[in-house]
Parts: sequence; structure tokens; C-alpha cells
Amino acid sequence: MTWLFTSIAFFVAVITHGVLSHLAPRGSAVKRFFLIGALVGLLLIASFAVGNARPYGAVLAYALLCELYVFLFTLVANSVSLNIAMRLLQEGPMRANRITEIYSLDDMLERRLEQLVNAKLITRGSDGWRVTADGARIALVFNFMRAVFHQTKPGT
Amino acid sequence: MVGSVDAYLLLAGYLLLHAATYFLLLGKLAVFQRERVIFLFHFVSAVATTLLTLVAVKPLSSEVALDTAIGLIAMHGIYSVSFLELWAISDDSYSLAILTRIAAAGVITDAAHLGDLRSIGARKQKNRLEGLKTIGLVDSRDDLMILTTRGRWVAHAARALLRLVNIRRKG
Repeated sequence: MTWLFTSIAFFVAVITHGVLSHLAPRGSAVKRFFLIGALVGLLLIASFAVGNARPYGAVLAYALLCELYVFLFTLVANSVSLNIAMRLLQEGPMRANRITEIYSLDDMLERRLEQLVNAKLITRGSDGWRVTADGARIALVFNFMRAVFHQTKPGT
Repeated sequence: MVGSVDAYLLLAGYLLLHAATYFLLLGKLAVFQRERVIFLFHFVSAVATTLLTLVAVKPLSSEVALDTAIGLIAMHGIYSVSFLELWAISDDSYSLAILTRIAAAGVITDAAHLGDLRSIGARKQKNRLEGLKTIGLVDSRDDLMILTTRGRWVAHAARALLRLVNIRRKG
């Protein structure tokens, strides 16, 4: 029974996320799912508590499913490789240089800069691009992570 | 016999040890900077944990034992997916690379510095086209890029997911 509850909870979280993403598409899809996933997760725990059960495994499995879902949709949304594959599905076979034209370096860079501006991590002033206070904090965390993970590859 | 909570504590201790082994020892080795190696480091551990858990739980065959087994496997899954995501972001995120370049420079003007950032994009673009061929999603014939059957399945699944989440901006 606990596994049925877990499956239903995950299904409800994903469908609710999908519906809300269409009804109110503004804002971060990840933050939206964190809120929905956490709320549904709490309801799942509450439903187990009512039955006086302690199925930690079912709750952990729900958390893993949620993490995999976020990982998958962020991967699909940001992966250049998967977007090339979707483009090939839509338009059929293409020459390599045509793909290079579509995913031009300027577009790739512009899109990333736009995402950083939308996330309020950088701003564009008259003299160029600058990091915001939040951006500076994220950059510090990122540099810390690279040090912790021993990543020494120059410039990413 | 190990109880349910004890089993979780045991696994938590093992995962701490697994992470410490990487951060204090293995991560310093050049070979552990490769995606395949870091993935195997986690994959082998996850498979071993799954097998051990299933072997330990099989003779018990109670609902609590099954729940604990799935919980332990999920716990390792959460740890490994989180670790690999953070590793990949810090290793290869274009957006974060751009952010740190701007943070380090203070201000980046279009003309002076964007060429440097474009060179990162150029390397990623080349890697992606090669990567699609390596993992068997795309085949190339006479410079023509064609989706393989597996590639078509993956592209369909990816498109369905984007539609569900209503994300239009790609790549």
C-alpha cells in the first residue's frame, strides 16, 4: 500500500507541476517543483503518520524520484546535445555546418547572458556586464565547489 | 540482526566515507577528473550497495524489510545523483563559467571580453556534436547528421518532457 501511495504522490506532483507550468509559466520551473514536491511529500508523510506507519523507504524513494525528475527536465532544457537531437527529429537530417549555424556561438552566449540577467545574477550597464550581489555570492560558491571537487581544468 | 534505523545509519556512515575518499584522496588524481571514472566510482558503489541490501533482506521477506531495502537503495541514489550533479555543474557549466569570468573581471565589455567567452562555447559545441555520435544518438554519413533509432526515442522523450514543463527556450 505504501508503494501505491508513493507512486500516486509522485504522479500528482509531476502533473500539478505540469499544469501550473502552463497556467502560470513565469518564474523558475525548478523552484515551482520544489514547492509542489515538498508540499506533496509532506502530505505523503502525513498520510503515513495517520496510519501509524514509518515507511522511511517509501519517503526516500519519493525524494529520489523527485530529484531525478528535476535532473531530467533541467538536463533536457539546457543540454545543447539534446536540443540538437530534437531539432533533427523536427527537421530531419542536417549537415554538420548547418547545425553549427543554428547553434551559433553568439546565440549560445546571448542565451546564457539572458538567463543570468533573468536570474538577477548579472546586470547590463552602459559600460558592460557586471555581477549583482547575488551573482558574486554564486560565483564564490562555484569557485569553492571547483576547489572542493579538485577541478583544475582552465576556464571550463 | 540489524534494525531499520541502524541500517540507515550504517549506510550514512558508508556514504560519508565514500565522499571523504573522493574529497581527501581520489579527487586529487588526474584520472578522477574524467566523467566516466567519476560515474563508475558511484555506479560500482550503488550496484554493490543494492546487491548487499537485497541479499540481506531476502531471508526476512517482511514489508518493513522490503521498505528498508528500497529506502537504502534510494538513499544511495539521492547521494550519488546529488554528488554527480554538483560535480558536473562545477566541471562544465557554461553559465557559471561566464558568471565567474564577469565576477573576476569586475566588468566585461562586449568588445573586449566576449571573444574569450565564445571560445568556451566553441569547445562545448564541438564536444556536443562528437558526444552525440559517441553515445549513439546520431549517425553521420557524408557530413549529414541523422538520428539513430535510439536518438529518435530520446528526442521524442525529451520533447514530451519539455512540453509537460512548458519550457520553450532551449539549449
